[in-house]
Amino acid sequence: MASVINSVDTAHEDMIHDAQLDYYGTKLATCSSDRSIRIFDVTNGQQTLITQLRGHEGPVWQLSWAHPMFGNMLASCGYDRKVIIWKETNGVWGKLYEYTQHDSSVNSVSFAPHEYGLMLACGSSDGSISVITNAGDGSWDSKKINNAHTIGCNAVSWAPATAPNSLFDSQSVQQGLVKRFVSGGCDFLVKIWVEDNGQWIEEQKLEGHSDWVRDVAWAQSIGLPKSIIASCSQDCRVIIWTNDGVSNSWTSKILHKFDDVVWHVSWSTTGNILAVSGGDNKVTLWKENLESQWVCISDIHKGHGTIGERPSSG
Amino acid sequence: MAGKYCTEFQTTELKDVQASAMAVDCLGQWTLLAGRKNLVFVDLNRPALTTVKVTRQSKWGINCVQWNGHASHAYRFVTACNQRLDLFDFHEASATHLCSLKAHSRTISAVDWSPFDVNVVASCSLDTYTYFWDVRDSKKPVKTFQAVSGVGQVKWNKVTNNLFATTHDGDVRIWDPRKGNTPVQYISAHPSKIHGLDWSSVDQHKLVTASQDCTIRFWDYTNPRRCEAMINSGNPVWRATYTPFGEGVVSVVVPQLRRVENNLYLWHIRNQQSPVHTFIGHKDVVLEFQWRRQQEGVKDHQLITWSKDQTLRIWKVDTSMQKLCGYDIEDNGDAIVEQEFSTPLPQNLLFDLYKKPDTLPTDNRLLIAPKSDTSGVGASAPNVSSHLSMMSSMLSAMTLEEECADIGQMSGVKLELADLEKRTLTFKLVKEQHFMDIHMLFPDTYPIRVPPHLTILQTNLDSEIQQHVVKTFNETSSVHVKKHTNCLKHCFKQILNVMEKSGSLVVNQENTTLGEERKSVLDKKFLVEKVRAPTSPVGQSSVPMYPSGSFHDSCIPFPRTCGATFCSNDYLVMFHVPAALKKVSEDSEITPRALSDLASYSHPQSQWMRNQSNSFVSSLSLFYGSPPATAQEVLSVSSFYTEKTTKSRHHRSHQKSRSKDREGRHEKEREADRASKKMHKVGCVKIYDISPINNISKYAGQHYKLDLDDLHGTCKQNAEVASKMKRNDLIQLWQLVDHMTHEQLRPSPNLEDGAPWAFRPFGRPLLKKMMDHYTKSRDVQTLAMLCCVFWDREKPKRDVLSLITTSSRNDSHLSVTNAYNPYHTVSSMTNLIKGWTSSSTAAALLPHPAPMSPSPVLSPVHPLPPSSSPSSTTSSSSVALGKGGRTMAEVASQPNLAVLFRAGRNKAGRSSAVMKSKRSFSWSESYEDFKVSEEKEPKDKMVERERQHHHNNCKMLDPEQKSHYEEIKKAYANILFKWGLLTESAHILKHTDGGGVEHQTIGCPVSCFNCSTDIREVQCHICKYPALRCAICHMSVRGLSEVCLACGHGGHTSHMIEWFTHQSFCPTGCGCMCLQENSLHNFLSQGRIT
Repeated sequence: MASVINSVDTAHEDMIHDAQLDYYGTKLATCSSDRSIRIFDVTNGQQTLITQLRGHEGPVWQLSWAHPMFGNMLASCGYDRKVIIWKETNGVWGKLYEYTQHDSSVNSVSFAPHEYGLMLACGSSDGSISVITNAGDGSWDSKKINNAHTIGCNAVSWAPATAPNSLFDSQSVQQGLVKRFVSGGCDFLVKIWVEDNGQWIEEQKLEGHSDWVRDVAWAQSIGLPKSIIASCSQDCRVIIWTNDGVSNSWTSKILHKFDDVVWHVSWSTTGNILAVSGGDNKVTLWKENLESQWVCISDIHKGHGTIGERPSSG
Repeated sequence: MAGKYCTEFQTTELKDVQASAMAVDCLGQWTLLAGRKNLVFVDLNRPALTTVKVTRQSKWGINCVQWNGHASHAYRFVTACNQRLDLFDFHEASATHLCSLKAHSRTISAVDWSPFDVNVVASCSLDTYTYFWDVRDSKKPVKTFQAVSGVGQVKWNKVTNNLFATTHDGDVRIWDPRKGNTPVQYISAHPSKIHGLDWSSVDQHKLVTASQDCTIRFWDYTNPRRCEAMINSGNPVWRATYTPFGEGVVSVVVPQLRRVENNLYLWHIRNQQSPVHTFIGHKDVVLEFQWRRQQEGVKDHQLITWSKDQTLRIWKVDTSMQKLCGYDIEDNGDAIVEQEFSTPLPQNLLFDLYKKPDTLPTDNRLLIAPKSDTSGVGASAPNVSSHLSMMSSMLSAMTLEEECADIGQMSGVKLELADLEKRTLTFKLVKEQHFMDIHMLFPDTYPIRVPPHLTILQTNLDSEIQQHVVKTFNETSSVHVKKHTNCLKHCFKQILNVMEKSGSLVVNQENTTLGEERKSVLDKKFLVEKVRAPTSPVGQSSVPMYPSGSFHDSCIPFPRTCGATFCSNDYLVMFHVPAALKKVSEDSEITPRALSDLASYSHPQSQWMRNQSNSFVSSLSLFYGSPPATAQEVLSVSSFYTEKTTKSRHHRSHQKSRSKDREGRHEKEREADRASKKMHKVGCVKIYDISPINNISKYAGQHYKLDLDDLHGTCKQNAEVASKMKRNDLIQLWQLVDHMTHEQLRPSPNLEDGAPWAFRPFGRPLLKKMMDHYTKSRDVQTLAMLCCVFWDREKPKRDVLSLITTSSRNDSHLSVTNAYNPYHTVSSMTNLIKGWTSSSTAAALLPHPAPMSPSPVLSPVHPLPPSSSPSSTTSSSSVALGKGGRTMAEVASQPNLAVLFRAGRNKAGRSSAVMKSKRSFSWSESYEDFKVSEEKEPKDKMVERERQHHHNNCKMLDPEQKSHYEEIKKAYANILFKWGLLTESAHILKHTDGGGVEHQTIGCPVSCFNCSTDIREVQCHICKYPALRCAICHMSVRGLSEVCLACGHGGHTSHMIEWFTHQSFCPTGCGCMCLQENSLHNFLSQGRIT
């Protein structure tokens, strides 16, 4: 049903590790083991190379676009322990800021919801998570959560700015938004962090995986009190964590146990579809039916043209 | 690179041994090759014939093995297998298992027999322990030493008892067993992991370390801060051991991908620039090498090497080579000969030598030596005849100078630089399109048995041909120097031949630059970027360190090569490994966890190793079990994948032959081939349009109608949109909504008319059901549309005046609308109070017009938290507020007391409320008033509460959930924005309350000149008096106006511009210096607001 509308030959010299479209879906950024980042204009099916960004000294693992209110801005992280923020000014892409405070490979980078201002979180193999903020006057400030995950942190994902817990609590609405993000690491744990008086503290520790957690994704809010987090792991499982928005407890549900390790999970805009991809080079899409069962709606096999809908059981 | 092709070696290929460890016994007779499946004993005297195979059953390979170093117990050896040590005796071609020594909790990384105590063996492991075992007591270790990190190597000092060294990543610890669990010395030796460690057999203080950081370092442990010398080998070094002669060190490096450099290097300790000799021959990684104990009286040493290419090689290291390591042979006669040959001698002296055979007593001994050496392994010691021929040929030997002159006549050879002092020559060789710059170093003894060293400086030849050139050169030169003749001319002939042949191999090479480019590309590919070590332990300015291949890679997750991410609204971006590639590993195997695991995949032959690498422990042990991969290999994730057509690349030879085939093809073809390969390696990034399976639709977002004044039309159109999208559920939904919003069902404002529709089963409960359904499917589009349609807009009633109004849209919505019911659900109490208050005061003040000039005020509006306002107690209190609390509301919302004062003064004496307000600048006072008046009217309160109740009941959407609905609308507006539907997004936002947060803006209301009520439009709604009269034309101003903020006079913008281009004072003549007063600077510096 869903069809390929564009197939971009990136001309990277080595394996691609991440590909992201910007807010409007007009620009594609890719990063690779060849240490470069490429940005393409993909408006209306075209694929024009806008620029190639070089600055990393090792493979580049992940990318994140900032909200367009900050201009065209992209953050990247890589094996060389660096986080680089790139910005387009007058049509020219350049390095805006380079963060080098990590002691090992930086595996994940993610811009916060724009409501918090220019802010991003990055997780590193040195076990720490950094939250980098732009004060607005051009200076950058960073807070580091040391030893957030022993051995290493593999993924970070921000909670939507309208954290459901604040909806019924007019106090917190008045005081401003509560900043939260989720992280996953080599200690098999998924952790939720919350900012309290300028300090990041661990709010929840979700135990469920039996191997390294490779990716976490917090579903976009659609104005509902419910929070949903998906996490995937080396143990081949994907777990969906839900919170009803009233209590502080999270319930877990195993989506599926796959045949190979799961590397990446991603929610659709409304949070109704989850895309799962892993070491077996396959992508599957999952949807929750009205009986609260997760069903696989399609398989994308090694780049076949279309995503065929599978007759769902629900 | 200094190279010498050593022809004198013996090779034994032992297939199917797959040994991971090798050891040579102390008598020099047996070599033990230990693998997972069997132990193979090779008789070094007859390596090809005598092998004893002992099969073993274990799923674990053998990490290390060592023979007892004492001649009395030479038959005894120890093997380390996973966490266990096994002791064996080898007698008459059979091995007897003595006992197992178990104590380690993780893989044993090294074992070492004590050179002084025949019964003691040391073992170390990743579990951080080093144990001493007495073989007579196998139950437990006799001594235990613990460190904080895993131990890589353990080595006894060879000179003194009671001293041993261990390595821990990049550190070395020196221990004295008598001093217990405390090391006597720490050496921070390398920034990366140490792979090899060896003690000097001469000096008890000296040791050498080999590390991943590509250096070999020499240490005196009494001075741990400074390394005595450092050899930079350019590749990670696997082992470095002292030679048993002179001051030499043999090292073996971890080769880089596809570079055939599985060589061993012999270094002189004091010459760190280049190795003095290279042992070329092994086709794969050299796993282990040891010196063989020599027979009495034999001067040549033998080096035994075992490589992954499954060959055991025995290399002869003759006296000349030993001399290169600074080893002076003690025998006088020989030494004299060597010394005398080393300087260019006058011919007559040489002749003298020739005439006096008694000066060569050693030769007689050498003559006997080969006979005693029954092995026949490379025992080609010179005999008398060869010696004589050597002497005779020596007469014909030319000096270097003469040779240079001779060479100069050769075509294709050009002497570029000659330094006869240092005995170096630089040549340029040209043949056809090929060129090669070479640098040659002639040892002092040349041409007596010692060939010159060759270094290729620059060339456009393939690396393979380069290898061939070096090999040819070494062969030719060694043949000639053996005969003690000059070799240069012959060598060049051969090299030029090779170059010519290679030219025919690459026939269609258009121009040389192409080849050059290719080479530079290749070089770049192999060039591993060097980064600076964070801290240099030896205080050297910059030690090259590889960013990868480090120990920490085991914590870095395996790179993602496949992924799908939802982006924007309707896109799914997907990247993956192209379908033409498959994993190197078997399908059943799951993808490894850490980046370090990749190392095992980059060695095509290491299947057995890979099988071990699945568990975390063994992936670490990989670093001990075999040479780790180099940085380049680790960096390239693509080594994890292979083409589907090639089943598996298990044999390097296979690969090589492939590349040779390719060599024969045309260059263009090769380019194309490479290009296509590159394409294959990186797949396309695909962007999918997932709108067909998405629950939100851009089409609907664009075409949905939302007009609260025409709900019927809205529903009709939306149902049509839904039918176009083939969403049957939505067609029904919109038809239902049409009925639910029917005019007849509108709530009556009258309390007595019975329960409103919303209160009935098909009212609010039905809507709630529908909402729940779409909440479950997370259809935010439908949810938001429902919220908007059933949203009760509190329409602003513009004609109600408020003395102080803010321009916040929020407030205008919340101003009082209805005469009968002033109560509305509001998000902020402040707003409620304000709204209500203004209407009641307006009513109160209506009959009392105050003569006052219109006073424009500039009032910043501050959003106030309800808690800070005294009026925030209950909503029902506002009745009382209407009379007495006006000022309080204003105090709460209007900090500008001056304005308030003016307002109060204007109304002084006209109503009791104003009287109170005049007195009530003190906060507490007014609060008391407020309380008193509240108590006066409890009945009113009851009625209001009931009305409030009724009003809430009239709503289809539960007011309790209001903030929730607001969020849905905002989320949908955000989604519309992402589609680029800006108008639609704004339209949805119009149907929200704008959240609880007030906007900070500046308002500029005008008070009516006539009745001093606030005017928001061009004229007063009560007395129809124009809000502003132009000071120039005296007409009422409609349209653009400009007002002085100091005096309040102003008028049409055009008139004002005209006036103030020439004048700076007020046109009315009030004396105000308007321009000056209104300058921004003035405002800020004086803080003038009014």
